Amino acid sequence: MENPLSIILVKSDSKGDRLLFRYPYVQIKEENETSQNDRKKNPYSITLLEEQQKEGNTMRLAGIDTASMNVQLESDEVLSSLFACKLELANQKFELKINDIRFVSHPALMETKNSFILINIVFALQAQCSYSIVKCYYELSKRLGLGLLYEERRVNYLTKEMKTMLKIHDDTIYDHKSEKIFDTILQKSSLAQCLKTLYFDLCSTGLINVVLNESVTLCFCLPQKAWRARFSDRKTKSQPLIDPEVIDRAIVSLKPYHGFLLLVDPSELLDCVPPSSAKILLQLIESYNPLKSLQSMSSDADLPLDQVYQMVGHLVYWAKATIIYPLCETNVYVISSDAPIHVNSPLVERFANKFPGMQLIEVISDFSLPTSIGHLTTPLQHPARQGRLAQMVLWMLQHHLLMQLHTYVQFMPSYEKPNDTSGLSLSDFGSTPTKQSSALSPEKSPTMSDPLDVPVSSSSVRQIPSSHKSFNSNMSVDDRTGSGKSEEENEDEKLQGLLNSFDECDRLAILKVPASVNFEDLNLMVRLKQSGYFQGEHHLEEIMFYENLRRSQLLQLLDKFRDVLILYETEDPASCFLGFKTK
Amino acid sequence: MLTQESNLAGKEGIIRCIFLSEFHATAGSKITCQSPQNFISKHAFDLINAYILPKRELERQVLTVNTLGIKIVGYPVKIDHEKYARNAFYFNICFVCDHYCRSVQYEPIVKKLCEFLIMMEMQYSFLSNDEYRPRIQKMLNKIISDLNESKVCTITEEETSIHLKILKITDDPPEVFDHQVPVLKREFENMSLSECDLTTQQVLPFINGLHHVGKISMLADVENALVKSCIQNLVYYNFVELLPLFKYSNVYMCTRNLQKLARNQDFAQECLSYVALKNDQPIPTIYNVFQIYSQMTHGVNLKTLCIRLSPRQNNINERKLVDYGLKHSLIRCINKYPIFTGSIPNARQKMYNGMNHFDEICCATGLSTIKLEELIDADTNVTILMK
Repeated sequence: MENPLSIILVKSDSKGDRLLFRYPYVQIKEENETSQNDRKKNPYSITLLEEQQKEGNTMRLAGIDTASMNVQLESDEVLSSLFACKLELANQKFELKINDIRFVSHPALMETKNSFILINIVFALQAQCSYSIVKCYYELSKRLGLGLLYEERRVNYLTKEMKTMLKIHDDTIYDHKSEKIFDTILQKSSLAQCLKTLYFDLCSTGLINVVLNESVTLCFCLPQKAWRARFSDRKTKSQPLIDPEVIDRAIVSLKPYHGFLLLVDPSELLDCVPPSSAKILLQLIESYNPLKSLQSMSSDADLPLDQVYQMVGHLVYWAKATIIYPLCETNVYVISSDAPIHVNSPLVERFANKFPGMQLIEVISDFSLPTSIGHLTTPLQHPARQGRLAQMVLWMLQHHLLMQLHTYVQFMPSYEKPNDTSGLSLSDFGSTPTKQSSALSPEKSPTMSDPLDVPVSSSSVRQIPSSHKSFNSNMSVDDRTGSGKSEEENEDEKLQGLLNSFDECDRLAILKVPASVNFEDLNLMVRLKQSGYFQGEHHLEEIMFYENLRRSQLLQLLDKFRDVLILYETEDPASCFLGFKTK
Repeated sequence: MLTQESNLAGKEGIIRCIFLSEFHATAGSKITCQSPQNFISKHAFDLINAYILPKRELERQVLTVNTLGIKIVGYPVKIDHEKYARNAFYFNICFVCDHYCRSVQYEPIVKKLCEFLIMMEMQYSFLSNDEYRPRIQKMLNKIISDLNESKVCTITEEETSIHLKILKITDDPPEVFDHQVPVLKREFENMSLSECDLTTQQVLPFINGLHHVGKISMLADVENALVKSCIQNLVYYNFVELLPLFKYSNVYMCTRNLQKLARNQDFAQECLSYVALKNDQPIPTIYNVFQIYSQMTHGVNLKTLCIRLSPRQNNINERKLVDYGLKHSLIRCINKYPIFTGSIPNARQKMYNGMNHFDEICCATGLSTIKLEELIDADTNVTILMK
């Protein structure tokens, strides 16, 4: 559906407008026309809108491009007059939709003292294309236009090409067979050939690497196409189209602790970058290692982190790499929900070829339950075995058969009724005694009695600032007078200070946790809470990275405060955008 | 502005302006009337009038032009008659919206409105006679405000009236399978049967959120394929949602959307009142609900969770909890896919190909889940994948 129906090249200058070239230019086939006639309904029946839509749908399903017929129903003159737009409309996006066809372009204009050239490279698409796919074509048209104008300024490339094409048009004008004209143009003009290659690349791989006039290299990629081609073997149930937007979102969410995993051989990478940036790519690839994070790769390769982001983002966009969390023993993997594993899957055979003696289904069934590499190996085994397992995990990650589970933390105290003795409270499932520390808490507020009173309720909001102020003034008074206070009391003051950052309900809940009397624990907890790590937005690995904590340290803390924190496991959207649906 | 743009990109947006343009015998193309006034400047109109009153090849086709930061949907029309100065009258009624918004939903309306105006013009010279100008202005004002507010608009001029309605254009509904359970949306629970077609009338009483499609077909005594297309139709019109079959042996895992429950107060309140078991008791706390959702992960089935957390003691209906979670994709169901790894499969083992999960096989073979589980446990040639 996202294939272009046609590429149209229109010029406009002081001598008027002209459709110079379009590709494909072959006339509609006879059989299509007859089948169209067969389907004709009773002319007297009323066609409802819904029926029309349904009809369109079934035709789309049958793979008949109704729209492609329509492109050619408009004559070249009409198309030319439509796309030779007013000069004020040049150098911005231009889109025209006629019935079911959407014409997308970005007219390029070059003005000199007494003349101008407006060149418009138009892509005809089916109207149902999504917004972000259309955006890709704008971009392509824009870049092509820029490249052509550049060559025009340098060696008058465009003028020469236009002249060649116009001459052919004028010589055969009475022939009325546009096919013949375009045939000749295709033979004579390098620009026309370029557009032809472009068309084929767009329809097949979505990866474009054309050279205009043997000097300007244009690299372009339709990410949805490239990713689709990469996972062409995924033909289980309906595999949804990956929207470019989803890929963009994944690239934006890159973090320094992420890593990346190449999906192709490094030798295949160079065709996705223009020669000028090949050096940086090589530099990055030299230090590439799926066990390393982007940050350590950036320092190894001596590249700024931003550049590494850009490079990796580029590779992901071009479907040459995928984002992962660097492979390590503690990573927990599970089979991804859309893994195309079945008896006849080509992946099964490819896996067996890559790892002789191993069965994909057997290996992957270990990941039916969340499992880490560390779990699957024991220190007693030969280290080579672990390496082999790591290789297999990498292979499965490359094919998006596995996804990694991360643990997220949500701060959520339980608001139990104070006089609630029956029912299941926290203490019932073997946690710590909760009543013990209640003496520490400030006066019981009326809000406590209401189990539904969640932090943002109006009453508690109004209370915070006042209590905050009073505590602050208390403290300043104490600081001035109480220089001789004992260590212990000082600690208490500090604790109170920390607790002030919470609102009433949360404070009470935290005070019930025994670990809250320990200054260091509480301090760390408050710091993490205030940095916003406990809102289910950041996984443990991220917290460890940004707060410079060890896993054991963090896990201990989370365990100590488990009465007010809820942990849950799910995927990181950056690393599994393929299955990540937009909702 | 930019953030708004990226949020609304590709979504349906409101109508910014409606204008009527005509080709005047002496003054050329011009805007006759627009609502709100002066939304499209004379200068902008001159730049794009080639797409609003285009060559005759494009007449009576829906044309959408998107440039200069606006998107204009129009339907150019030419009426031939000798009463006009040039023996023809050209006009177009156009809807304008933001350039990043979707506009397909307006196309049928523009077309219908144009056809109406053609008729009015032929009968009363409604467009070409200047006397009607204030009435046209009033009509445009009404259309734009009514359509933006309520998506429907009825206009009456002389003795004719037309009804305009913005139809929602949705994607094709997904295929319906035997093992899925259709659930009526809350707002349609008391829908009257008389408005539905015959099949739906027969099927609808059995859609109770418990029966799966195969069972509904049996109970309603309607052919399976008919039930499926009927339910597909209901899904398309958003009356019904399809959920996996509820079983205590099911395994669920939470998704990233779970954080929404902690962040969005209104959403959380809606959830809490939905999952409540009894109305006369205090509604469950967000802590209890969140706790159950958070513990849903691979390897923990609903039965274990219920034993561990006893939701009913906290006035939580675990069934509704699961329903709500699935509907709002806070959780998703993890299915078991048996794969036969032996050499020669028998008829049932042929279904163990990695494409069918337990529910599908149970539906196809008529076996109960427990029975199937026993059979597969006893079969050494079967590997189970959970995903």
